[in-house]
Amino acid sequence: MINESVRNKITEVTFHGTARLDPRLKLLMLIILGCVSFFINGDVPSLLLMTAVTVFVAAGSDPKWGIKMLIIYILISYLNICLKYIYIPVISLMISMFGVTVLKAMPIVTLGRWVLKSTYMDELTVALERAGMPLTVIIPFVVMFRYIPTLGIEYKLIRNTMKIRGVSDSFIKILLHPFATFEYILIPLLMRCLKVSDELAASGTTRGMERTNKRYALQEVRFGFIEYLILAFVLIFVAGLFVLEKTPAGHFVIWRLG
Amino acid sequence: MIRFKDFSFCYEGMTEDTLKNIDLEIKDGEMVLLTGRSGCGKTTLLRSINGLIPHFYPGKTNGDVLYGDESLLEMKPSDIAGKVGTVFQDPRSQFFMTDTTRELAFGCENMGYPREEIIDRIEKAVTALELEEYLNRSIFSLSSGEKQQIAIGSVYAMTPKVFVFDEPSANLDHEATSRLSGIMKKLKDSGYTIIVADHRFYYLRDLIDTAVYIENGQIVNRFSRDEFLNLDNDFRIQKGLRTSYPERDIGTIPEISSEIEASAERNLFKVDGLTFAYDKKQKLLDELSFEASSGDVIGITGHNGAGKTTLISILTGILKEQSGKVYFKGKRLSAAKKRKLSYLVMQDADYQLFTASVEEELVLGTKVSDKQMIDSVLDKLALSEFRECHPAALSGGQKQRVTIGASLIKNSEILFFDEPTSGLDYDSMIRVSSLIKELSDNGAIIFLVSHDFEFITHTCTRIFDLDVEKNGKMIELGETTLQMLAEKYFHSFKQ
Amino acid sequence: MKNKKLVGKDLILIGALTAVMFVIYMIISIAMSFAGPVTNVFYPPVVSVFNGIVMMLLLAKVPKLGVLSIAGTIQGLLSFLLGAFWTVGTGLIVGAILADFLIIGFKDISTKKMIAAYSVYSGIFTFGAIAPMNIFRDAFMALTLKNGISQEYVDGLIKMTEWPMLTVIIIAGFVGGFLGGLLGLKILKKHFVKAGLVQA
Repeated sequence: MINESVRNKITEVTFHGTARLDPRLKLLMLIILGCVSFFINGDVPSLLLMTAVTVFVAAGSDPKWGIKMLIIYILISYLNICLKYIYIPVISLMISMFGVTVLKAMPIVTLGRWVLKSTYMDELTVALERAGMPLTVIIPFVVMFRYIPTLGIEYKLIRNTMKIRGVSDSFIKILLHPFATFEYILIPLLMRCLKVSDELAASGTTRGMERTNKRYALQEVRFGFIEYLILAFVLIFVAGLFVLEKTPAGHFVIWRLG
Repeated sequence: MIRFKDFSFCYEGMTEDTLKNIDLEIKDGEMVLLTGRSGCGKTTLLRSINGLIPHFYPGKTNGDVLYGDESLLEMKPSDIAGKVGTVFQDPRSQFFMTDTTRELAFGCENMGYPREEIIDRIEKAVTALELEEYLNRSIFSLSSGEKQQIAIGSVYAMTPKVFVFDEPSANLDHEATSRLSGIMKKLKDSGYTIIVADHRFYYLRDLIDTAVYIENGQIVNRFSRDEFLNLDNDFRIQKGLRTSYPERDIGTIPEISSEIEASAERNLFKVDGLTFAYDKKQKLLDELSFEASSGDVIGITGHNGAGKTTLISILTGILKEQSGKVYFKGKRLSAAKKRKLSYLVMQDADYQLFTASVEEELVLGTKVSDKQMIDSVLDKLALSEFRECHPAALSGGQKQRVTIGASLIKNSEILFFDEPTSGLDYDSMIRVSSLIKELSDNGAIIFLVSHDFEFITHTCTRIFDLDVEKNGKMIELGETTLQMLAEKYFHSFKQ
Repeated sequence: MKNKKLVGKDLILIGALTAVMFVIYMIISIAMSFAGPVTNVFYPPVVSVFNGIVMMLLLAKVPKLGVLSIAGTIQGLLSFLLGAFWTVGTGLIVGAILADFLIIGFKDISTKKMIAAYSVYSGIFTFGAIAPMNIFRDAFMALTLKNGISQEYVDGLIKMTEWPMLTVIIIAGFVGGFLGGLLGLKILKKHFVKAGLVQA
């Protein structure tokens, strides 16, 4: 007896469109984006790059995130220009560094977070396996992603206890005892880490984590024609951006006052 | 199905065998309960069945453990995975994937099954265990009970013949335990062989076939279900076992010590109109008002998500109330003052130990250096011999006592305990109960959040509940309402 | 401490502790890049000092060949994915693998080896992270200027990465690893060994 609604739910995916591309392609795109972002400097190409990322993410079922990031990008670009007109010795330096770093990071963060949300870990595992990465690197890699949110939760719990016990609970106290504070937070965190790793490993081992047979993910994982097509597209687009850099459009300043 | 032949095991690095000469036969389709005091060896026994011993936990083995005709000791955990499935105690650290459907598929994917078969298996698991509403969700959004159901589902999809459960009810509230019981019943009816180790076992009282009592690594008693359920109370307590009928064995509700009641100096803790909501539609806590004074031990009950943790967070000053006032000794309390006055003993002591010695730990955060005071606290909590030990080297119960000691040094007048007995055996539970009573006799106001019905009825002078009236309202339970609650929690196990 | 094959249990611990190390790395490198060019170029040694604690714990729990390589490789991969200059990730990966195979090697591991390996790893990582600012100086500086970072900062960076100073920075990298290792062992002894969680 087949339960249709259940089967449908099992094969359902939350993110569609570009999200269904092979994880290897997504990772490649992230790397390419990282390389490109650093070298593209003109206002126009940079904005184009950011917009392209937004479009890609929107086509992958997360338009809200993409657009939100794009708006913030535009805001900060504009604010960065305002800075040029005000000069405060040390602070200006810091803020300009901050502004530029953030702007450079935005496309990467936008794409990166979306990749994290839209990629299922089992597909990532299988894709990396097929790409030739050894299991000894894949397992820690995947575990890391599952563990980082947990880290956040644990950190909060530890800080709460510290507050109640009056340990490093005020900014001044932290400033006066930075190393002690670090120790107080890190030690319980690491103790928990050991415990959770142990339990996680026990759970994984009893469910066959160490088996070396070939694995199939719930959704098909394939680097096929579409992936190659999109890769080609991306490379052409990136090349285009570089060309644009050299033309007058590359020097055109969008963000200006007055 | 499973047979232990004169099996002994010694963990690497230990001098004494944890399991000694175990002879046990578990038949096909049988449900066996393993129970005994903390440290008796029940978990070690389970590990010998699912392959964690000796590969994951190295050590010396003697004798054999058989699955049918094969020796489990000679099989690798990878090969045992499809034959024996294990569900562990802490639902938070059992999942690998961030998505529930993927987690259900995890075991099957490891086995290398083709896609269609994986879908089939998940479908059967979801249908059998009624998990449809939990598909395609982020695991982080589930409650403990729900996480555990997914863990069971993940194992179920691998269709092992034997199911092993290691203290599955330790982190669950009554509702979730009830559901767990239902799932175990389905498993039993489907013919699986089930082995459960747990301190609390009331939820299994209609299901088990045999109960095995382990002491110091040896099987000391074997009971049939009837024998086990009809154990003489004194015998049961002597063996350190919980009751199978918490609703029946309520006993007398403790009263505040008369000295305190008569004393003029009773501190008054007053809460007036406390409200809190995480989202605008539903108020989690709605206009809570109550008073508490020295010597009160107040139990707070309610299902996971009812708002108990939020309430505690507000009263300890970690979270700010959205409206309402909190007073102590007549003065209004700000969040910072609440933190100064109160102390929280968390469920998991690992979040609360920061230093490298018990003595240091006790005075952390305070400026106390009075040797005498420290000595007396250590003495009172039976921790004197551990004075120089690292807190992390102590047992769970000892760690808990260390955090309580810190509260005494801090001289907290209001103490909060969050699930202090989760995972504790009977003796430890009674010890905590006595300690709490002592603390309240010394004038502290104590709040207990707990699912442990036996513990609450043993320890609390008043009980507040967030479940009886929903919508964020909290009421105080009288004798009749308490009885009603007991019926509600345990009605499905009525014989 | 015997040297054996890596098991599932080990891999998971590597994953979890690498997560901790990576988060610390991110926090420190971002914080230090704001404060100015002087601190910016010293972020790798500082990261090594703090992460030394975590790495020593990892090596003590899993004293096997491959651990350092994997931890370094994963952090390297992540730095690629996050768009850092290609030499950073390469430095991490190469440093980790070299230190692992050359120092930790196939025989038994001692605490001396652990510290030595971590120092080497840290030094190579520092080289990979900061040296490009000198070697590819013109490209780097042009980029940084074009990106709107103030001339002041760029001048500062140039000064900081000229050869004499650069050697100081690279040495600091090794020293940072060394100190991190020492600090890590001290904390290990104080807490984890004392609590019985780790074999001495």
